[in-house]
Amino acid sequence: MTLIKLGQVAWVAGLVVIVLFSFALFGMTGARTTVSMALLFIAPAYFILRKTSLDFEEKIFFSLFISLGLFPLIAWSISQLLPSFRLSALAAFVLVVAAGLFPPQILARLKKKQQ
Amino acid sequence: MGEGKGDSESSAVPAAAGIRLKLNPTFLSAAAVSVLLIVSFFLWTLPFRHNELPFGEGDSAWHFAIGDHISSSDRATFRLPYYIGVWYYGFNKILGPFAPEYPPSSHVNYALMQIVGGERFVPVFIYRAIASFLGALAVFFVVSRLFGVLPAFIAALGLSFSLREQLTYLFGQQPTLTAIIITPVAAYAWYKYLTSFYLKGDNGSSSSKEGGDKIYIFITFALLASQYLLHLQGFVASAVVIAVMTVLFVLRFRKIPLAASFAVAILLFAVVAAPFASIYLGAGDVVSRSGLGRLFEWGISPADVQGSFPPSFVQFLAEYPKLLLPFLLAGLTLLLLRLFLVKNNARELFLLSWLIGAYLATHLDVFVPTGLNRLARMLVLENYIFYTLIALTVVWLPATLSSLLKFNARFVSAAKYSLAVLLIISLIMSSGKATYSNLSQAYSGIDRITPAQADFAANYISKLPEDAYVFDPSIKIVGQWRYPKLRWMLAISQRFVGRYDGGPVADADHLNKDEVYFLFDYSDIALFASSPQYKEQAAAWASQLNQLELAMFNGTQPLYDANNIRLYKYSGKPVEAVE
Repeated sequence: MTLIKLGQVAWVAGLVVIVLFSFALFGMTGARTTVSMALLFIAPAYFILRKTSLDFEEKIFFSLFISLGLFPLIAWSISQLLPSFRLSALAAFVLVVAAGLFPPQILARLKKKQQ
Repeated sequence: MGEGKGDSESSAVPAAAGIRLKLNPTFLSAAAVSVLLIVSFFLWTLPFRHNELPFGEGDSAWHFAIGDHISSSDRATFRLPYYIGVWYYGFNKILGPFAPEYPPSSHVNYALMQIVGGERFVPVFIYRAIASFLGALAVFFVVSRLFGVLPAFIAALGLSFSLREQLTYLFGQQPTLTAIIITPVAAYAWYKYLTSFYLKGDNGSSSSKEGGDKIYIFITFALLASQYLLHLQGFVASAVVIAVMTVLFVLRFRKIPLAASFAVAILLFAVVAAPFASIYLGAGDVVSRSGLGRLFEWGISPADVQGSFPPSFVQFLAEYPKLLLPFLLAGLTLLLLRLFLVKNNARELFLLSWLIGAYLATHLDVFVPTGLNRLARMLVLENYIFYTLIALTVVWLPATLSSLLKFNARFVSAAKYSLAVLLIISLIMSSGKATYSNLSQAYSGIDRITPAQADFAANYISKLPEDAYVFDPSIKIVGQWRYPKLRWMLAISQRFVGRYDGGPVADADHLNKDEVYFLFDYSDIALFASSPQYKEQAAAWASQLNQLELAMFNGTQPLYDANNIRLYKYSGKPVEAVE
């Protein structure tokens, strides 16, 4: 395991500790809320930033602070088109994660087509 | 930790026998963040640990009500529902009635928390707590990357005990606080761009691209957009700090940091910001500019924020215990010294920008018309830079003395860790203890909505027609402390509940005269009466309220009568008679 991956494990372990702590204080509601905050406010933007030259800590912190304002905007914008806010939030999550995962493939396909 | 930041002390701690134990900085950083999160989470969730009923001032209920409406209706529209829209009816001069006061991000976050947490109040409060103490983590991130984990941990610990942030959190001015929290991170991202442009990395050694590392331009603008969507004050704070930093770096390096990527970043920012510009531009605050004399005051006086904040919010010694003042003074002095003495002083320029930016942001009232009660929230910026300087003294003081007096490395290391331990213990024993006391007692008394009031709102007021207008005449009698409870009744019931101070009832065009109700709530007065100290006062209040009730509704059957709370439907009887 490389040093970077070990560093990532340390951060994930830190997150697990927080989730367990919130579970101890607020039960399942606490655990669900803290896990969801990490999922909604770190994971989607992280997928977009993961291919950049930023280091791991920068990716985590930038993701968090960017997502606090921008992820809800995406969910809100989609909800102007869809009849359900819950569905819109889910669609926003999928959209951002997909945007992080698939652009390189789309770009590769475009290049292939051009060739 | 990435490259180019932090002194080596962040990755090494002295063992008992003088052996230097090398620790992986990433582990150290993750461990420090975990400790900070656990301490902050433990403290900042105290207000709702044993009482899950909502707390906070009117603002708190306002923000909750909008998020709550989004999740309960499963719709997120641009217009506010009736019961929230009439609260600040016609506040926005451009968008007109029922316009939102803020872009949707904060309120959508509340709604998301309710959905994922599966409950109405606790998940939102957990979000509020975390989004309020995140300032400590933001500062930790920035300081750890530029100066090492040790000063970062101390600064963040100080901030997790910050009274000013606690009060903003408790009162519920959440969007402002969450937006301002991002400022140190946005400033850091911009600093990284500037150093990649001027220095090929902040220590002059990392790999760089011609014209700077463009990713940081996009990150900076994304962070600015995030702030803009949460609250304009956060965006303005960052813009000021970034502008100051740019000017200082241009003066220092005599070159303007321009890149084509700016155009793309600005365009993307404009796409995000433009749809919500009218929310801010149409805001109806009527204020005037302060005189130039304000420039000669560092902070804001308690008189200027009377009615909005308690004096302790703006008082210097309430925020910084006396023991910290020598550290702050030393930190400021050492910063100025290092600006002149250190050859690669980019990090010191960053701190100076932050300091000047905080000063300018808290004195914007001199340059643009701004209410001091709103501007006072910017004082959080001062906490960030001052706690950073206090913490940096631990590293800078021994290092500077060592270079002047030629101490050996072991002595410097011992001095540094001794100072760190002293500072941490001082923080815990002073601000830490006070934080526990403040947060565990916050809204634990009559100032929080009671189970009887919450039950009445949830199970009775909520059944009234959607355009019901419930007046409460008690505030004029008992005082302003009851106002937030009214607003929480509004939020819980999803029906309008507001104060009534006398005068004609049905003047407003947005008011359906057939759906006006009057609430006479004696339940708080009954609680007061149970205390011998307030018995007389409670009797006087009850008598006054009862006189009003009899004058207006004598002989009328109340719609609701339980737990010392009565609700009547208003039949149009002239109210002037009872004023």
